[in-house]
Amino acid sequence: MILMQDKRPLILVAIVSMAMTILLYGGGMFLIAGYLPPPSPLLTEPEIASMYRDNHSSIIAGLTMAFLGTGFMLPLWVMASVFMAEVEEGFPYFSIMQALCALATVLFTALPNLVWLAAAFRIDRPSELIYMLHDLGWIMWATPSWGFAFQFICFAICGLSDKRETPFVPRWLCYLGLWVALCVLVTPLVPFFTDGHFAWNGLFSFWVAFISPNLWSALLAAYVIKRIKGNRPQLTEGVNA
Amino acid sequence: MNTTRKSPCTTTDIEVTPASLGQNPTGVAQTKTTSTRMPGEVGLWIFLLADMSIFALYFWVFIWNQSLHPEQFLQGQASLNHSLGLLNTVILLSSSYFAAMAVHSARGQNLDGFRRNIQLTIACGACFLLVKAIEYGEKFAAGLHLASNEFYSYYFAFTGIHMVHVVIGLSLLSYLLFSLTTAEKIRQQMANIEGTVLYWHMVDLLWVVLFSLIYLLQ
Repeated sequence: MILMQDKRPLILVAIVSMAMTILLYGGGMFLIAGYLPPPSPLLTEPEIASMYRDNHSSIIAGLTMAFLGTGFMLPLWVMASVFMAEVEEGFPYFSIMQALCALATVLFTALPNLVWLAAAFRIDRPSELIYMLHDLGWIMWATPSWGFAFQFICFAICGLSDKRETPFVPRWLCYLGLWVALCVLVTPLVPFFTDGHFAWNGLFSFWVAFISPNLWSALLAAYVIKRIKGNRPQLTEGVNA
Repeated sequence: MNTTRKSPCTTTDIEVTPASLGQNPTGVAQTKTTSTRMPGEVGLWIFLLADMSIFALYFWVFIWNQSLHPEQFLQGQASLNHSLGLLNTVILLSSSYFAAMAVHSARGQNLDGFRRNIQLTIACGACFLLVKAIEYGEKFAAGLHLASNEFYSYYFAFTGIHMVHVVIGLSLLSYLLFSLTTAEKIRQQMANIEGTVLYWHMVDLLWVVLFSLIYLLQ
């Protein structure tokens, strides 16, 4: 039986989780596969097909790295649920909900990589099939946001309910989480647009909706590490009680 | 939500010494308290400012696209129902007044006044949604939708996002109405009441700018 009275090892979990996500996912998808900025939805069928054919190896290498990187998002979020459960009395509904939504977020982030990998797998297949798989991957990647939104809402409910003298995260971070939940609200508009700020490469659907939750996650990791380092006895208070 | 927590910017205690007063007949230091309490809490203000910043970005995008497609935006504005837009502005401004009155009643421990004003605020919010639904219905009946053109993309997207804000606000107001049934509960939940009303004022403010921008500004 593992007793998690001492949460200091979780510092390592948070650091590894963030570092590997940035390195594998960010590095693979955006640097090696070259998906930053995302290819415009206005690109034509021959342009997309030649993109996959010309950059075949780098796309496969980058997307495989990114796929592995998505798994490293989960430890940080499960760790957040551990701290959330200390606040909840009785059945830890919001902690479980947050962890399940994190799993959904990870799946919706990981699966498009497999779709794009399938597009790059046989480059001699008809261009229209590559084009379709490319579109499918981007719509699957950019549209679902409910996982992120529910995660932030659950987190904020627990964080704002934390009445201990030193809450596990500052209250402003919870409010900022609610704001991020509103920021990702626009992503269901992605399938309506092939151009503009709501398209999958647009200002609101990509730059705001993708960057804001990730920056918030980095802030969460920093605060959780600070909390574990700075106030260890109070962290175990809830477990001992 | 923690309701007993004190806002970091609540009161400023200024110690008034004989030297600072110049004269003090009793010779005893007096303390004067000046109230500069900020409603809500710092985190809530960060949320409100961040949300207003995103809307500022929406407004900038709208104006920028308007400059790129002036004819299309002019035609789009002309096709909107200005009367319904104005009606919704009046409705939301009234709702803000009732929301402010609800806070005033809550501070005075007036339970009936508080509940009546919250009910009126909710009624106004529901009317806003009804009018918006009628307006959307008119557009859909005319074959106009999100992907019709640039103007209608932004019209539906921005007013739709604002409508979600209204629904969230109505949910929070309904929570206050159904959970605060005694004067004691109102006293305990004062921070939540102020926070919800601040949010509602922001929703109102955003609509006023959206109305000016989408319906009127040419």
